[in-house]
Amino acid sequence: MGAFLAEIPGSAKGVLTRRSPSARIACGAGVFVACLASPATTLAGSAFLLCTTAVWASLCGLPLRIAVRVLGLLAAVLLPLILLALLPVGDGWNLAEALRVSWALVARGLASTLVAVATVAALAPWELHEGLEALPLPRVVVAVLSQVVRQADTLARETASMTTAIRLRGGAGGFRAAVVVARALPEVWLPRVGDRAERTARAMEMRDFDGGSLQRTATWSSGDAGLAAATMAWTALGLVLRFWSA
Amino acid sequence: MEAALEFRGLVVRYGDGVPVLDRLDLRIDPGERVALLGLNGSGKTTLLMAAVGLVACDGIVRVLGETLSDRTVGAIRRRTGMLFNVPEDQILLPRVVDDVAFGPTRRGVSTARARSDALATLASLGIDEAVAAGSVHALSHGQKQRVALAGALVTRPDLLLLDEPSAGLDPPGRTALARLLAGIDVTLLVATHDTEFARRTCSRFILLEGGRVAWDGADLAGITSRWDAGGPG
Ligand SMILES: Nc1ncnc2c1ncn2[C@@H]1O[C@H](COP(=O)(O)OP(=O)(O)OP(=O)(O)O)[C@@H](O)[C@H]1O
Ligand SMILES: [Mg+2]
Repeated sequence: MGAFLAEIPGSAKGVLTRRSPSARIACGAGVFVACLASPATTLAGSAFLLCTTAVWASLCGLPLRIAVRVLGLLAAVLLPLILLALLPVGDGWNLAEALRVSWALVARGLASTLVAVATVAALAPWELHEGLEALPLPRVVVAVLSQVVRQADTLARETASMTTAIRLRGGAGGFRAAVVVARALPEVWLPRVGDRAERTARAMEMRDFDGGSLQRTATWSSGDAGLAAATMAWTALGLVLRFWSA
Repeated sequence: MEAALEFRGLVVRYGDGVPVLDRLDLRIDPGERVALLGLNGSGKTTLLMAAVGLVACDGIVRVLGETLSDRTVGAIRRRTGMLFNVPEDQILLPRVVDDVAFGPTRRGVSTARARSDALATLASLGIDEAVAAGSVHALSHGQKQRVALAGALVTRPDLLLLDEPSAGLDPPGRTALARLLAGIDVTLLVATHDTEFARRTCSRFILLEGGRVAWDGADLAGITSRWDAGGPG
C-alpha cells in the first residue's frame, strides 16, 4: 500500500506533462473543483463527471494499472458508506432517494479522487514543489503543503518497510501481517509520525524553510494559459449544470 | 576575545523531568574544533539544539558575538550550519541539488549560482552530478548523510554543529569528511561516538556526564581511559 502510493508521483507521461508544473497544479485543482461542484444526481451531471474524469486522466496519461488500483481502494472505502445510506431509517425513507444520495456520493468521490491522483501522477515529486513555488500562494502555505506531501511520501515508504520488517520477524504473511501492523499502529507508528513531525519542524525552522518570500518565476506559455482558460470554462459548465438542475 | 559559542548556567529539561543539561558552562573560541562525547542520552544532541534555540532552555547562550534571543535567533541560524541526527529530517526538497541549493537561495544568491555552489559542495562530498539531479529517495543512508552535510556546508557557515557526522559513512567517506573539515575555516562542534573520527577532526575533547561538562581537555585518552576503567554507564 505504502509502496503503491509512493509510485504514483511522476508515473503519468501524457500530453499534459508538456505544460508547466504550476499550470498542471492550478488546472488540476480547477478540474477537481469542477467535479465537486457539478451535480451527480442528474443524467447530464453524471455524464459531465464521467467525461471530466476520462478526459483529464487521459490528458495526464494516468497508467491504467494505477487507475484500477485506486478504484479498487476507493470501492473498499465507499461500499460500506453506500450500504449504510441504503439502510431504511424513519418513515420518510424511500429507495429511489437513498439510491440517488449514494450515487452522488460515489460518483463525486470517484471522479474527484481520480482527478487528484491523475494530477499528482503527472507531476514528478520536484515538479510539485516547483509548481507550488511558482503559484501566487503565501509562502507558508507552499512550505507546509510541500512538506505535507514530502513527509507523506517518506511515511508511505517507511510504512512499506515496516510492514516488510514485521512480516520478516513475525513469519506471518498477508492477512495476519496486516492485523499485526494494524494493532501496532497506535503504539509504534503514530508516535513515530509525531516524532518525525517534530524533528522536521525543527529542521524547517533551522533552515528557515517557511520564512520570507523567494523570488518567483511564474511565466506561463500560451499553452499553459490556453489550458487554464479551458479548465475555467469547463468548471463554469459544471456550475451551470448544478444550478440548472437545482 | 569574543567566544564563538558560550553557555553559562544552561539548563534544559524536557517536560517536567529532571534536567538533561544542568547548569552547564562551556566556552568555545573562534576556530576551535571541539568533539562532544558522552554516553547515549547524556545530552549531546540537546546541547547542539540549545545553541541555535531549537529547545527551550534557561541560562545564557551566546553565539558568534550575539546573545541568543527571539530577536537574534534568525541571524544566528543563518551563520550556523547544522547536521541533524537523522539526515532525512533535514532534507526538505525532493531533488538532491534543489535541497542543497535551498540555503544559498534563501540567502539571496541567484538560482544559477546557488545551483553551481550546491553541485560543487556535493562533488566535494563524493556525490556526482547524476545523483544530484535525482530524487532524494533514491539515496542510500550514507548518501543522505552526505547530502544533509552538503546543505550545511554550502552556505560557508562560521559555526558548524554536527550531530554524529561520521555515522553511516564508509571508511573512505569518513577520511574524506575529516579532510574536508580540516580544510575549511570554521568553528566546529561535533557530537560523536566515533573516537577515531574525533581524534582526526578535533583538538579539544569534552565529555558530557550528569548534565555537565565532566572532562575538558586536549587529550582524548583522558576520556577513553575513563570509559575503559568502567566509569558510569
Ligand atoms: N523530545 C524529547 N522528549 C523527552 N525527552 C527527550 C527528548 N529528546 C531527548 N530526550 C531525553 O533527553 C536526554 C538526552 O537526549 P539527547 O538526545 O540529547 O542525548 P545524546 O547524548 O544525543 O544521546 P545519543 O548518544 O543517543 O545520541 C535523554 O535522556 C532523552 O531521553
Ligand atoms: Mg544524540
